[in-house]
Amino acid sequence: MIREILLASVLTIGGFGILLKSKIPEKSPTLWTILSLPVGVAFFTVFNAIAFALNINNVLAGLFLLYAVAIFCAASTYEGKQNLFKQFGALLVALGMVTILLIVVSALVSPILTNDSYAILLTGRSIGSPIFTMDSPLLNSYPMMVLNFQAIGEIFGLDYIVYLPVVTGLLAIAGSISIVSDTYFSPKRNARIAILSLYIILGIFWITTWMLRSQLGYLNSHMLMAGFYSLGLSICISRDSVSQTFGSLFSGLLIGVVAFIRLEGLLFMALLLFAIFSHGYFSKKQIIKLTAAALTAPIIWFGRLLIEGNRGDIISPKTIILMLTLSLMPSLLATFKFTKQLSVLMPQVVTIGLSVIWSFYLLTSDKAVESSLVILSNLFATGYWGSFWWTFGPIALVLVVFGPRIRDENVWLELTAGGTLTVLLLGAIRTNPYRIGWGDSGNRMIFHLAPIVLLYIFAKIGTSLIPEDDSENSKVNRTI
Amino acid sequence: MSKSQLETKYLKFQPFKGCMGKLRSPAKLRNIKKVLLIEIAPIAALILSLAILLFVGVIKPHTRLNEFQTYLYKYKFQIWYFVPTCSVVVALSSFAWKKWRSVFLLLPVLSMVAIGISVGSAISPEQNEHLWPTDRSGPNSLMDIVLAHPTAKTRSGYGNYIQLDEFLDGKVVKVPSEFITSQGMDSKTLGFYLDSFANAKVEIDHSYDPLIVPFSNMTSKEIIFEGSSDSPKFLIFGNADSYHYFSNKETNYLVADQ
Repeated sequence: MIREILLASVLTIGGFGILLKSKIPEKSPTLWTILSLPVGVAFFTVFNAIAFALNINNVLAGLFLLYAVAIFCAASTYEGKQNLFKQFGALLVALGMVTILLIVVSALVSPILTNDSYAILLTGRSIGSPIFTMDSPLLNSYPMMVLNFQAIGEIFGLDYIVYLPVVTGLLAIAGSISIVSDTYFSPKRNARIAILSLYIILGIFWITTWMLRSQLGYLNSHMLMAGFYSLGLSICISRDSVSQTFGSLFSGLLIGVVAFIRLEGLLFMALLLFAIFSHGYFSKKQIIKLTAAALTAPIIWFGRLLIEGNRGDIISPKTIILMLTLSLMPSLLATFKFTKQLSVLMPQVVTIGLSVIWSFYLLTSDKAVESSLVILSNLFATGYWGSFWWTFGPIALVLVVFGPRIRDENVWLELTAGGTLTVLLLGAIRTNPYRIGWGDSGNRMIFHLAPIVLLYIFAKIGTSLIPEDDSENSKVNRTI
Repeated sequence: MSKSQLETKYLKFQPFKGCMGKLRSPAKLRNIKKVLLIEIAPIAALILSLAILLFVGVIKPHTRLNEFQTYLYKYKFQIWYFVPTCSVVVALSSFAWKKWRSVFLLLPVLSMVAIGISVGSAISPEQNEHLWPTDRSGPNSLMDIVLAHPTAKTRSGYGNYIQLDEFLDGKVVKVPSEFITSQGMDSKTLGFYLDSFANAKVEIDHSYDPLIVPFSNMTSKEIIFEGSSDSPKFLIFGNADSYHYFSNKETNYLVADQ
């Protein structure tokens, strides 16, 4: 555990330093401490993906680059000794938080390693060895971020890394809760009470629901995906009021890293990019910066896999081309004058489009019907979700139709419903339909959407509590 | 810039800002209709898709609907009663909130969550009974974890190689360049297994045939490891700094070079 804490601290310090360059330390010191580890992990993954794709077969390359950027950011924002003490205090809080979480999670749940986990270990630990080459089909079967964790684990003398990805995901979820509460709750006192209540409710469900609890010890990338997808969503919805907080480069990088968390990550990244570019006010410069930050590393990594021409269990050269093209579309639509209006409407278009495609599959393919019914069965009975979806499923669905319209409603709809439809469509196009039980990939992918469904209900409640005489807020909420 | 200023700025970016004024021309009213349509369309599409799923699921005789109904039947009370009740309560509270505002949405939603928790606690034992431990009692070392795995395939497949760590850590293992083992593993993947799990330094040796097992050399060497017999056996012959890999249908051999 001490070695895992050491590695977590190394990544946290890197992320902490990089965040100095953003406006987050100034606007929300709490968010700064929460997001240090996720940001460190995101940059470490992106740098290593580029390094491996360029044949630099050394896991430490990403770590060196992370620290080079962190030192540059810290040096360029240095404002004297007084600030340094304050920053040092914040760093200690961030490190303390990560350490405590790691200890608590490891004390609560023992590691769970399924067949996939061993394959991840096998592939991840082979990175950096003399026999490792990019033409391994295993790279087309397992996602980069969790492989990268296992690769660096070997250097720190760890046989496997389970809790660090889990804590990274948890902190990313905590960060998105903080951003959503800041955006949808007013005044601040209400926001604090709401956050506390949400943590209590989430905690109760996490303790009593096997499917949630198991993710705390499961060696896979589900907690990472749940965390970074909800963080991506909160970046999309916070672009209006706190656009200065993240900036185009940070927004792009945190959205782009989703592509490395799962093999279908490029699809979820495309959903996030459609969502963020639906705010039609981006200047050309911002579009270029955001696109470059989001897509450069995924294009290099998946481009390399494409050149190698391997067919993994999950992705093939054909699907890579398809997913890369799709992820380029949001930026292209936002760039040109005559497509900008369409870009603004893309969340709605994507939701409608996915619904139509899914309906078409339902009417023409038995596999699609079977996969969809299996998902329903898993959510309500066989997927070890307890009462989680009986409770939050109907509440979220009813609030979509009858609840108060919230700011960026369509972005929420695209990322929750669109995300669910993507999972259902993957079940329709894969070789075998989804199967009954917790270990089914469809059931596990639903976990990625669980935090944002909760956040959606949270945002609706927040909007409902804003008094009508709170002129600015109510004006914003009414007009949307 | 303050939050309110930023939100005002946000309003300026509304693509349909023009239709929000109080005095509306017929053209603007048409625009409002357009806005509403594009807002409602995704929700309508989703509802329609769900309706199609239910229709197709029930109508098509060859689907596994009956099987799913059996699974759901176990939780008949919870699903059949709680889900509709919860939906109706939240829908009514949404209407109440639109009329009276205040906490008319918050309180019903919170009560439904509380009822959901209590309903969940009633079925908690069966929904939490699982093969995989999610408590503190499970094993922590990789070797113990793999040996406790419920399937024999994993225990022997991965377990054999993880157990090799004790004997091969830091040692050189030479594997053939192009070869498929009796388990269908190519030599590169075999190299990954030995490198990742056994921490061996894997080298490719182009100059030998792994199918010609050197039994005459092996007689003088002690068997220092004998893997699980769930799948093809794994044997290590002799103690040295470098080994060669050999294989036949029944057994994988690592033979010391000295």
